[in-house]
Amino acid sequence: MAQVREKQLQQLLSTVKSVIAFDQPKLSAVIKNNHVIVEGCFSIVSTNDSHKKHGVIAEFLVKIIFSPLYPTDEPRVLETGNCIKHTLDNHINTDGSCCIVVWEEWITTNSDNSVQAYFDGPLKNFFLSQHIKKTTGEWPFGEYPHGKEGLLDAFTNVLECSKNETKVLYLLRILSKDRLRGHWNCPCKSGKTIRKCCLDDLVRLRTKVPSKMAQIMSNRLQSYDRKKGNISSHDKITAKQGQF
Amino acid sequence: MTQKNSNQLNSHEAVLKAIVEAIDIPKSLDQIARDRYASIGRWLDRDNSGIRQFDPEIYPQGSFLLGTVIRPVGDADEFDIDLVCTLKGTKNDFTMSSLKVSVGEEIKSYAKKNGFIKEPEDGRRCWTLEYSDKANFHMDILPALPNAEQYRLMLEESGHTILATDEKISEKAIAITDKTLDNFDIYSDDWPVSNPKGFAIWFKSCQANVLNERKQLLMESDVMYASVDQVPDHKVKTPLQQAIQLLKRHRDSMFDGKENKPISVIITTLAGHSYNNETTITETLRSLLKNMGGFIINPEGESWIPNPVNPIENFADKWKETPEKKQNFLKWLEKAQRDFGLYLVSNNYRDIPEELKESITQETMSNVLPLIVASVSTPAIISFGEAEAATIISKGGATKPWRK
Ligand SMILES: [Zn+2]
Repeated sequence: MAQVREKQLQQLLSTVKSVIAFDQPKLSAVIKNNHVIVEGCFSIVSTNDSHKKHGVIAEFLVKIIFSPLYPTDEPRVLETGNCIKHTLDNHINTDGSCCIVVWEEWITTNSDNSVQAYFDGPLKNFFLSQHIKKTTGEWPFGEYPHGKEGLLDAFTNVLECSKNETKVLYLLRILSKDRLRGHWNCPCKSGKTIRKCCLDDLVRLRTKVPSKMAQIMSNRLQSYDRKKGNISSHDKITAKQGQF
Repeated sequence: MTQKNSNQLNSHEAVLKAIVEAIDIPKSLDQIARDRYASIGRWLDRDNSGIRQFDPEIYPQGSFLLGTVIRPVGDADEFDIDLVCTLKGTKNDFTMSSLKVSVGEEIKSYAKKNGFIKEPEDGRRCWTLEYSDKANFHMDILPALPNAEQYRLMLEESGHTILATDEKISEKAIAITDKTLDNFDIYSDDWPVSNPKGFAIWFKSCQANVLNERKQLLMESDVMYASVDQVPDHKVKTPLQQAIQLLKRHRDSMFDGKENKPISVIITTLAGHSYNNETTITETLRSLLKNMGGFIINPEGESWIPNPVNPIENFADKWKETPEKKQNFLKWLEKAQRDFGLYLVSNNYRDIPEELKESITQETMSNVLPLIVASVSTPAIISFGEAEAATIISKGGATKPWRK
């Protein structure tokens, strides 16, 4: 078991190293405490050749912690240079940890969840957003409201439904089952059964949100009500990683 | 330097190109080298040459054939030129020793006739001729016999049937001599095998498209050539060759005077595999540096870097007995990724980071730096971020921050 994990970690390390090779020359990666830790200066590079000759768009000092279970586990990202104020409005916690993205949304709406895609997508987008916010006051890609409301927005987007918590939870309950229950009431509230109504749409949705992911999303949404302290199971995991 | 005016380099690519020109063999010296080995060839083939009956042929191999020659650190006009001298004989006509001596006698008489200060040196496999005028060439001449049959058989026996039937490559195989072998002085079938021309054919195949494009361009600007086929390979430079030259210089400065540095044939082989028809030096360097490591077979254990035209031969065979060679290769690759990345990714084209200056050598850089356009009216960099965000949105790649 320990050997399997060691091999997984080594594999993740070499993946991360090949992603940062050349393209992120100021980052380095090592294995520490059973995680792959990336540290240094994250460069935001233009994809436009005529802009590239003027160097990077911006740089931020970061520490990124990858669990060997990536991409099931979201990497934990810390802004370590104090270049951005660590405030809720900046989507950075007081300990420097960054709220990069709604992980489940990124996983389900992108077919490529590789480390490369993470660097080119959410990670770059987050820090590019910070850079633009600082200079223009605007979030170029928008932002989600804090807490449950933002989560509901993101899940609504994933499930392509209207923003209604009961409806989202019912949809997630349908998707959580190992197979579609055709005799259940259709979530569109037509009064018909799924089999006689939106079966095709739900079959398609299941390929995007597999049952395990639906369970995770459902638990996450409900955790806001279960625990008044607003500590989700996900927060507990990241709290455990605080030792880095 | 062929740059005529100063202050004209205004991009990363232009700066890299100027560095390559500074470390490359100048066109005039390239021509002198070609004239010189042609002159040796005529001597070996003269009427009273002792080996004339074997129709001696002399041709370049290694970096001179591949177009990846570079100056030594310090930028002196000193170049190692590797040559092959093939006699059309068989292993019944020669022992390794008698082949070496027969070729050696003629090279010695050539040196004597042309007033060389140093006698040709009798190396393990080669004869070395040292020119000591302003064009300081060390010419290593490798005596050889044609060896196509045995080469084909060897490939077939080891299961490389496709390669064995590739006549264009197999017909170029040679048998070479080695002083350290027990059968050096006796008639034997068992000679070391090599195929430098075959390797060059493979290397050319890695970049066939770009090579043709470059030849086409030259043809259009030079009335000397009526068709692309008439343009000799060495008249054009490709980004793959140029990137390899930069990597070799980076290696040379990193291991200057030290042992166990990564060998050129390993860098060249991995580079050839990694190349994907990129058309600029910048893109080529990125592609090579990101992908080279992936072409080492079994990088964790007993590593293999097969000779592409003779897969039984492992270019990394010394890594096992001397682990430092392997460690040095990996260290070099990581440093090269960082040093070139720091310039090409992190910096604008004007600011060359110290790390890269050191690894190209300050001497070479002092020739290039004055040519860099000092400052242009820099556009408002701030807008680059917004332009990038717009690109991301248009590609559907936007993601939003959120707080739990
Ligand atoms: Zn329905």
